[in-house]
Amino acid sequence: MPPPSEIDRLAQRILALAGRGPIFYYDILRELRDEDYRAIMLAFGQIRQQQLFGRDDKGRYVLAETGREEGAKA
Amino acid sequence: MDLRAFLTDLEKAGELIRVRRPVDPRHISALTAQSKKGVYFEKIRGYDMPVVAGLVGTMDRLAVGMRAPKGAIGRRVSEAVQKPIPPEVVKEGPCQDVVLIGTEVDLTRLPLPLQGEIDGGPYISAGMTIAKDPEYGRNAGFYRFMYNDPTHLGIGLTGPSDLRLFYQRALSAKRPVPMAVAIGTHPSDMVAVTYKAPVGYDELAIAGGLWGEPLELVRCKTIDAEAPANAEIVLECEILPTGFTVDEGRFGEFTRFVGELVQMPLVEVKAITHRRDAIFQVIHMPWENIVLDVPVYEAIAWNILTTAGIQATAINVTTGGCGQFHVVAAIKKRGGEGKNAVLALLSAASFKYAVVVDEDIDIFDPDQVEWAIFSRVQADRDVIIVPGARAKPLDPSLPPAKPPALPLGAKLGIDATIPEYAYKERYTTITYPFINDVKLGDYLD
Repeated sequence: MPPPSEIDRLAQRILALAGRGPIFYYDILRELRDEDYRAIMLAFGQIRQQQLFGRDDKGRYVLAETGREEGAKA
Repeated sequence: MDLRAFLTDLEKAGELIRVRRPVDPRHISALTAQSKKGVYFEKIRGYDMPVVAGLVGTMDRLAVGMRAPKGAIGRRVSEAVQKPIPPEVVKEGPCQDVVLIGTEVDLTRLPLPLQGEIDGGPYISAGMTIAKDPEYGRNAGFYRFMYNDPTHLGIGLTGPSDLRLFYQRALSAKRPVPMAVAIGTHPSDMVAVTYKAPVGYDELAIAGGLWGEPLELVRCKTIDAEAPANAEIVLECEILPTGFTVDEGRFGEFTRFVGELVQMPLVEVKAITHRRDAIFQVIHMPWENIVLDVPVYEAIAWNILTTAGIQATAINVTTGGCGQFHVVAAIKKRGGEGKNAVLALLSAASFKYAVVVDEDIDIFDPDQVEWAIFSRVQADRDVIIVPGARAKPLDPSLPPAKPPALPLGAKLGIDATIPEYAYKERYTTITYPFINDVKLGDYLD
C-alpha cells in the first residue's frame, strides 16, 4: 500500500495533466507509465472522491471547475 | 462447477496459455487481445493475485466449459430453464476464506485492468450479481462495474432489467439494494444469470438445472444476500439510494463499439471476501460477452418457437450479430410455419434479423444459409419488415432516443424455407456417381 504522501503526489500529477486538457484514464496510465498501477488507482480514487474531476462529452476527464463546456470545446 | 474446473478443462483441451513472466496490469488487455487462447497471467506486477482473461473468447472454448457441442448449448440452457433446480445455502464456502471488512475494504487490492483506451477507468467485467428485493426475492444478473474509488463502483444499469426495477423500488423507499458481486465463476453460472427470466424467477436455479445439482451459496457477512460458495472473490455491496447521479463509462460494449458516458447509481462495497489463493477473472470485451450471450439468446429462441408450436431442429444466434441481434433457425416445416417462425422470433426484444430455413440446411455454415436465401426466397413474398419495434439502445444505426424513452427500430425477417407450392424436382441437388464406392486416398502414393 503506497503511503498517503505518494498518493497525494500522484493526484497532483494527474490533476496537472488534466489541467493541460481533457484526458482519458488511458492517458493517465500512459503519461505516468513509470508509476505504480495501484498507486495511480488510489490517486484517481482520491480525485474522484473529492469531486475534482468532471467529464466532457467524449467521456474525457476535465478539471471540475471547467466542466463539460470547457471539455466540449477541446 | 467452478472457475477452477473450467481452467482444468481448458488446459486439457489446449485452449489455455500460461504467462509466467510478470505482467504490468496496464498490459493485461492488450496481451489478451493478442492471444488465440484463454490466458492465465500468473504474476501481475504489484499484486499477489493472478488474473485469467479471455477464457470464453470463442464458442469452442465455451463448449469446453459446458462440456457440450457448441451447437447444443443453447438447447441445454433452454431445458435448464424448463427444469430449474433451486440453489442451496450452505454454512461455509471457499469464497469466504479471507474476509475484509471496514477499513480493510480496498478495491485497489484487486488487479482491475483498463480494457479499452476510451474506457472511463478500470472495470470489473466479470461481476455476477445476486441482489435482493423485499417483495420479489432474489435476482441474479451480470453487470459491469467501473472503479470509482477504493470503496465505490459505478454500475452499468443501462437497460431495463430486474435489478434496475429493484433499484427503482429501493430508490422510492430511500433504501439501498443489497447485492453480492461474485468474480471468478464457471461460465455456466454466467450464462444462467444472463438469461432474461421474469421478475421473481431465480436465475440461479438455471445454473442448477444445467448440471442437475443445486448451486451452493453462502450468506454474505455484511449484507442480506447470498453469493456462490465457490466463487473466487465476492464483493458485498449496497447500491446506494442516491439515484442516477454518478458518471459511468464509457466502456467498450458487446456491440464492439464504445458506449456513451451515462449517469448511474453508486455502489458501496461493504466487504471483500475471497479464496485464500484467489484468481481475478476478466471478461475481455467484446468477444467473451458476445459468446456468453449466444446460448442465452438461443435458449430464448428455442422457448419462443416451442411456445409457437413450431418444431425447431437447430438454432444459431450468430457471433457476427454480437450474440443478440441475429438468429437463424432451422425448422421441420409444416404449411405456413416459415412465416410463423419468423414472426415468433422477431417478437423477442433483442432479435433484429431472423432467418428461418428448412432442416436440411446447416445453419452453422454461412454459405448454406446464403444458399438457402438465394434459392428459396423471393423478396416480395418472403421478407417481412416490422417497423417501430422495441430496439436495443446500443444499436448505433438507430436515431438517437432521449432517455428514459427506449429507442424504436425496424426488424427484418426472412422466410428461407422451400415455398409450399414449389415444384420439388427443381430442388434436386447434385450427387456424384459412385461417391460411396471409391476413396481418393486409395489412389494417392
